[in-house]
Amino acid sequence: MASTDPSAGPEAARREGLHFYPRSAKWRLRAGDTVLFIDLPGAGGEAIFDVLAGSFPAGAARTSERWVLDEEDMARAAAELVGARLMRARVDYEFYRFLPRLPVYATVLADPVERTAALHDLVLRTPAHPDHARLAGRSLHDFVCDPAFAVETVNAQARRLAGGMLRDPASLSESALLEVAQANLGEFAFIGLGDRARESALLLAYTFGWPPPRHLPADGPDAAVARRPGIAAATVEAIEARTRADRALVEFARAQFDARLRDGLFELLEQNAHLSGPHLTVLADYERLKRAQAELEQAWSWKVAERLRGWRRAVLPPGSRRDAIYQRVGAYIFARGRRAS
Amino acid sequence: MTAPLAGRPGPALPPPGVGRPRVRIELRDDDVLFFVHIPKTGGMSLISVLERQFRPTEIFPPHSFMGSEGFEAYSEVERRRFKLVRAHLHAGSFSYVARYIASNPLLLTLLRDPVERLVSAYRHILRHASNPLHDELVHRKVSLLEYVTSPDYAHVTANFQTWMVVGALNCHLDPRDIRLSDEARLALARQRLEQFAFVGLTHRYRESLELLYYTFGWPPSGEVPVENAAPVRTEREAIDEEVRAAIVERSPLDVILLAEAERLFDARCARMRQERGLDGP
Repeated sequence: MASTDPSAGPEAARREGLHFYPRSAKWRLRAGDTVLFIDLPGAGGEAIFDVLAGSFPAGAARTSERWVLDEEDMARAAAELVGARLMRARVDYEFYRFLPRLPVYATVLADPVERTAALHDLVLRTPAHPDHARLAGRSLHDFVCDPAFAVETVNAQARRLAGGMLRDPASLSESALLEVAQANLGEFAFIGLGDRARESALLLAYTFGWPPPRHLPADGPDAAVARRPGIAAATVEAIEARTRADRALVEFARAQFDARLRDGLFELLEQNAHLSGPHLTVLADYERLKRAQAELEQAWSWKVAERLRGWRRAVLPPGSRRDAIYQRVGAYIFARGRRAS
Repeated sequence: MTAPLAGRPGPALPPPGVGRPRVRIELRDDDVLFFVHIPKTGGMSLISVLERQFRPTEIFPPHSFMGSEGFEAYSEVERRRFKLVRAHLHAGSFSYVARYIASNPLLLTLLRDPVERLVSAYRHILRHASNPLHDELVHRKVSLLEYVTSPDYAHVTANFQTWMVVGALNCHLDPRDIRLSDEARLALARQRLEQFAFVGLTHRYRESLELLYYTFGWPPSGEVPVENAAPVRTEREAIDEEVRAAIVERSPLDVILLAEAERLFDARCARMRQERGLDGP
């Protein structure tokens, strides 16, 4: 139940964030369920979606490439996706209005500054984007500060997850927008993070009870480590000022992600450890992971989590030959396990 | 107590829809129905209708408030067999349905005028010695007005229906959490209503049954069951004006929610008639 002391007053309590009951990271997909992957443009969800699509039968996954500008576009996107078991579209949470049943939700979020910069690049190189011509030759700073692009630059992630991305942004206060987005996100079967794509792919497998993916996507840029070069401080400031709800939402999503990962990742590795056999490298790494897990169980914290991630990066630098070998060996083991089972 | 919203317009929403393209839902073998039973809305009568559609082994047996132990008492094989859950649960306990029975059940509920519901609930507590609040209300001689105005009972009186509706789908969010603003709570409740496969109205019970049968493609029954009804029905007009005003003041979200539910109900009934025209009788 809510742990807040009512005497502290609602405002003080609200600053602490919403209270959630712990939930299992696992989600039992049923035969007729439809998974809706809400594509937040610029968040780097494509790689995770590809992993997701790889677990569905051929032809069951479909993407709408439509840039949604109004309710009619939503309806058209729904028409394009009829019959798909896995759908990806640039729509918002209220897309359920166009579907015969409530879908199982999934999405990938990203650091607001990174996402806005990536979206600016995306619009410039995508002639089909409705803002392409209008944005041609204009800087990221212009993109952020011009109200004409507000749908994509002002709390765009929160507004998509709260629903009503096409409605007047003033229809909900910023704090209520965040609360609704958080509440909706809490019900998502899967939440991924663009800058932690590898862990996201593993969590995805755990969530739906699939074997770990053969190939893990590369992590997107980690905004906490290094901001993408070339963004002026004034532009970062302008983005931050327009994405306060997004910033809080991404932090909330990170906490949810870590909690689910804590539940799932090690269980996933453990379930598949017996398949390792003679592959000592994998086993050795797994043993080290297990020791790290024991440490995590005693005191899970950001610091420990960071240390674990740092260790993984040190042992298996993303994109390195060692990492490639690790993934190939892992894929072989899991394929063998699948054949055996 | 949060600021009352009565009379204040809510966030702008698109024109009322039915929440999905068609009212009729083709039930699948692995579907699970979860009836969010809000006390004193006529839910027992509706449950008797729901139970007729399933075999006894497909119905999750418990019917009263419980924690995880109520679900863990059944094996996973048994739990996978259940197709209907109609237990009285606290909103926080809804997460057990998601965890133990089905992640994405089809939700159903019945809403009632908040004034009538609350007065009916008060009388129900006084009539039933087994109710957890019975002794307290009787021994302390708590009047109806005191019951609806006292902060001691606010957790079961203020915006109770909104709490249950929001909590049904957002089962991992504590809907009574004071950190959830009324503005957000109302916006969520509106979305949730649309997401319910079926929303009925106590004061339009016959039409609700018709909509229920149509929604799930069940053969209609001419009979209108009445279960667990009060000996004397609670009519809004017979309720003291002061009590009525006190309830409306303390449950503004429930008042708005009922109006939204009526809009949704009308839209779904109209769509049902259209679909019948297309599909034949």
